Amino acid sequence: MKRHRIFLAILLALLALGALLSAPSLRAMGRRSLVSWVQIKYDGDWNPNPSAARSIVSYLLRVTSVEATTERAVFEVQSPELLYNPFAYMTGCRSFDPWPEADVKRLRDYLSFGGTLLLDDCQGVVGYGFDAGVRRLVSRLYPDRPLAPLPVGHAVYQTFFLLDRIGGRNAVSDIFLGVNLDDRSPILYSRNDLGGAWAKGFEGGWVHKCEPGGERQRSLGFRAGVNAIMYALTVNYKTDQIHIPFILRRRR
Amino acid sequence: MLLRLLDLLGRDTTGYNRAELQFPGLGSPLFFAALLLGGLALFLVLRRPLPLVSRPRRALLALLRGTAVFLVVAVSLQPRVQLQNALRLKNHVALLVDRTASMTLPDEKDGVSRAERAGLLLKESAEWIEKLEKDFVVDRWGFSGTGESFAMGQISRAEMEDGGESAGRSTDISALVEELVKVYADQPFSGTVLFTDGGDTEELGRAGDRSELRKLLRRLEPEKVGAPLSTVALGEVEPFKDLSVARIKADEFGFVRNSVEIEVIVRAKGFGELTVPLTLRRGRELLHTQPVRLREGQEEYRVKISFKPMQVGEFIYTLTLPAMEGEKLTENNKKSFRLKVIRDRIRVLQVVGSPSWDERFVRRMLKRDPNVDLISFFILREAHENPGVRENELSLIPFPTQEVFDKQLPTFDVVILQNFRYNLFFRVTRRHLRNMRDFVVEKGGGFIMLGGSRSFQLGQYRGTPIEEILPVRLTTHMGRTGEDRQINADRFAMELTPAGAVHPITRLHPSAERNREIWAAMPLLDGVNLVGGLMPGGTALGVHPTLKTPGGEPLPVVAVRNVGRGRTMSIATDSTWYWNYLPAAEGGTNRHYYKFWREALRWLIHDPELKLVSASSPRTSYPPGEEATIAVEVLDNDYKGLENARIEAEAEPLEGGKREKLVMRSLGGGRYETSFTPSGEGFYRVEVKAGRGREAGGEKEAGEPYEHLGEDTLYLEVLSGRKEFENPRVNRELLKELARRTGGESVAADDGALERISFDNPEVFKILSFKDLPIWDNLFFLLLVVSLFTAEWLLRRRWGGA
Repeated sequence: MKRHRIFLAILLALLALGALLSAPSLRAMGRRSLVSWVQIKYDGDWNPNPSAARSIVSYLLRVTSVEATTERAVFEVQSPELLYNPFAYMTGCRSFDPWPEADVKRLRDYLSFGGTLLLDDCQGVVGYGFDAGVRRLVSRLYPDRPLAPLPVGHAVYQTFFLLDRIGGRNAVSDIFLGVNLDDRSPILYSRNDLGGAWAKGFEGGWVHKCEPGGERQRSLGFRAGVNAIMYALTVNYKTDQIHIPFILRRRR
Repeated sequence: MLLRLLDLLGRDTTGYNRAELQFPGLGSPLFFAALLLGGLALFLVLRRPLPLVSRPRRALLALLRGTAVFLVVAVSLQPRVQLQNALRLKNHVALLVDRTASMTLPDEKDGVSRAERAGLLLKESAEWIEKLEKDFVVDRWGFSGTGESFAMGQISRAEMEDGGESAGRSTDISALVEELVKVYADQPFSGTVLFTDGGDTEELGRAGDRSELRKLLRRLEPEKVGAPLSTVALGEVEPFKDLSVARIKADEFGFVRNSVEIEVIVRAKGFGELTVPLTLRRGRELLHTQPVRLREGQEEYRVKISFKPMQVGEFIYTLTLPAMEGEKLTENNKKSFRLKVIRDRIRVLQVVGSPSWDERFVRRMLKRDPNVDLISFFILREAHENPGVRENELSLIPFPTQEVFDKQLPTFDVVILQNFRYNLFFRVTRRHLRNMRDFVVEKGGGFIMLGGSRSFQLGQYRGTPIEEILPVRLTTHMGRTGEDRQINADRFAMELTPAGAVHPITRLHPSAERNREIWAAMPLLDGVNLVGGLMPGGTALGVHPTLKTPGGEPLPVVAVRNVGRGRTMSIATDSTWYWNYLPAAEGGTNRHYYKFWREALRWLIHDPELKLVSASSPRTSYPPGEEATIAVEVLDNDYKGLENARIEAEAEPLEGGKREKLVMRSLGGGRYETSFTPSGEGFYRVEVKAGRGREAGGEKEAGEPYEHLGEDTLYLEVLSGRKEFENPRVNRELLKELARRTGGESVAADDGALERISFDNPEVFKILSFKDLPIWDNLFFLLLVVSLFTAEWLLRRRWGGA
């Protein structure tokens, strides 16, 4: 029994150390100065993969120099806190009711002045469910700028990883759809259920299988998530002239 | 003759000394009408067959007809005799002697100057002069130039023959020709003799070759002088030893950190094969040395020099050749030019240690500014971060440390280090930090450090060359438990300092009250780097409302500093992006954020438009001895004209000499004026410093404390005669061509030179009174014409004609 207690104490100490090491820098300028994974809560099926955020942010912290918090922040679109986080994630499987005009305006301002929204359809059927709700919302946000495919040359495919397709739990499309505003795309829309690919169970295993591409497809889903948040942070940095020869060489 | 005939005919010619036959109708419409009608009549008459009469009779008839028609045409000429009381005038001859500085140059053989040579020649040619004076009115002129204008004035015979003073600073033969045309437009003029070395310092002197010279003279039309222009070349044709910076072709302005190319014409005579150094300096700073290889038989060398001005402003650059052994004239070995260095686009280097929202909004703001050329480098991955993929699946590029921090650094105007810990990345060493310090201190660059968890002390900059240039110290803040505290993560509202309330960066509105309101309404900031106090010369513009430095001063959040020739700025937080995004996304405006950053860049690059003190002069160059006027405008911090400003102004010659204090007088509305008379030739620097409140050091004086508003520097050139010595050779080509085009002679100043010059002397009269005697307007003339026609008609009838 005593041996069990010692074992438990060592285990707890290791967990505490691990938590300490995985926590954001103690010298962070302020909680808000860290990049947060903000998920938008709306009336409907807003949270199909609750564990996806921690999974993708952990990956982001492991592979990039971005200072982020692994704690997911959930805000409704009218929340004042949303503005301190110019990147937001919105997902769902089912359709949702049309938003009040005030919410649409709020989201439009959020996006137009520098925010980026990653939309993620976990069902992946065009014109049904979440996709129908997204298209309705986007048509109200930007009536004259419909969702359009973002071709492989778009900055979002090269902000960190060089991607020629995005992964996810599904493989509905190889590319993001998006809305272009001036020289950037404030809306990125995946129909591959990225969150489903990122989601982990309590014991650390994957919640969903990625089909048909398996783990390679999941890996591409993670990379697409990192690139999306890097796009929000750096926008067209990777299309600066200095990067172009390197990227072209590596894409060959 | 005609007058005598009139006397014989019994006409009264008393009071007249001349008679002239004139045809005033010549060329009149009546004349042409008569000519036409007469011709027509003659044609019709001749066309009719003459009667079958003997040849002598036919000849008589033709004579009668012809004479009658001739008389009809003659009538239309309205011939008359004009009786004149006339005065015979003498033609003018102009003797012109060059009175410019190059005429003081002595000849090698006997040490006689060119001006003295002219005098001697005139004295020796006394007989020629006397004859000339007998037949002509001889006008004696001296001509010279001030560098900006041409001058020609009459002189006496003695002045001309004694050499006189030759101090003119320019020779402009084009202007001389134009002046001659004007002066002798209404006078009988037989010609000019020009005594000169032909050392034109203006357009004609710059002609590259004979064909260019001819082209220029064709345009100038020296023939318009109306009489031959003869030239007497003064000075030795054989060159003496001389090395000179003859001419500089340079644009009036160049772009900072971009190559400026100038072309220098170097002239060398009498040195054979030799290499000489041509140096370019700005003040005492040596910018470039260009070896010039001299060759036997070649006099002119075109040397191209390119250099990169590293600072915006107006500067004087000087090109110098060494004074050579045996060189008589060394004044022309140096020549200066003025260059206004302006900005093209502001080149900004942004180096970011970690992608963040602050980085995102700073980059976007800079990227969207058309006046900014932004180069960004973001550290997207640190060495310990492992993406678990092959390198070619990543878009990351190696940061070109050497290229950016060694080679390209001087090409930027502003460097931004944003949350960048230098020693974590890519072999960035203290040497590179030294380069950045030198970029600011020596090259006049701008530098900003932005806050974050990898900035200031956390960026390991303590004790580095970067700390030397920051506006703030990187001292340690110790907490209650004695730990080193470097960040405070609390929210706060930045407070403007009195300096911040008026500084261009933080004065977001001209009205002080409105500015305060704007800052009060700005979103709160999140977290601050706990920097130390201000460095000497540092100024806090915004401070933390509660936190203090270890020295007890309010903690600087936004601070600026002039360091050497450059400027730096520190922003000890990474949340200024709130000032952009939050108000904009909430339906307000983000223009204050844009203005803050735009003004920060302008201040860092010494944008002249942000000057509160500016000095100007109506002219950039003055002749020696002329008073130069300096106007100064002083603006208060609200950019309104400041009355009662404290101004210190001094003028000093660039090449050393006494500094002169200038006393300002107010013209009202923040405008002031002063003047001074430069003591000699060359460039002068006028420095103006201005402030408001009581004088610096006047601590006991009541009222506002002294506040320095700024300074300005102005360069004025006092023209010299050096231009005259740039090319001291005798320009025979020009003198010959001038003479050839006007029908004059071109001679060298040797014995009997003037004897070869002669002038036409046509009679010219001035009519004091006159009387016209018409010849045709009388009964006799009419009867004669009628009689001729009648006689012809009668004879023709009698001899059987129709």
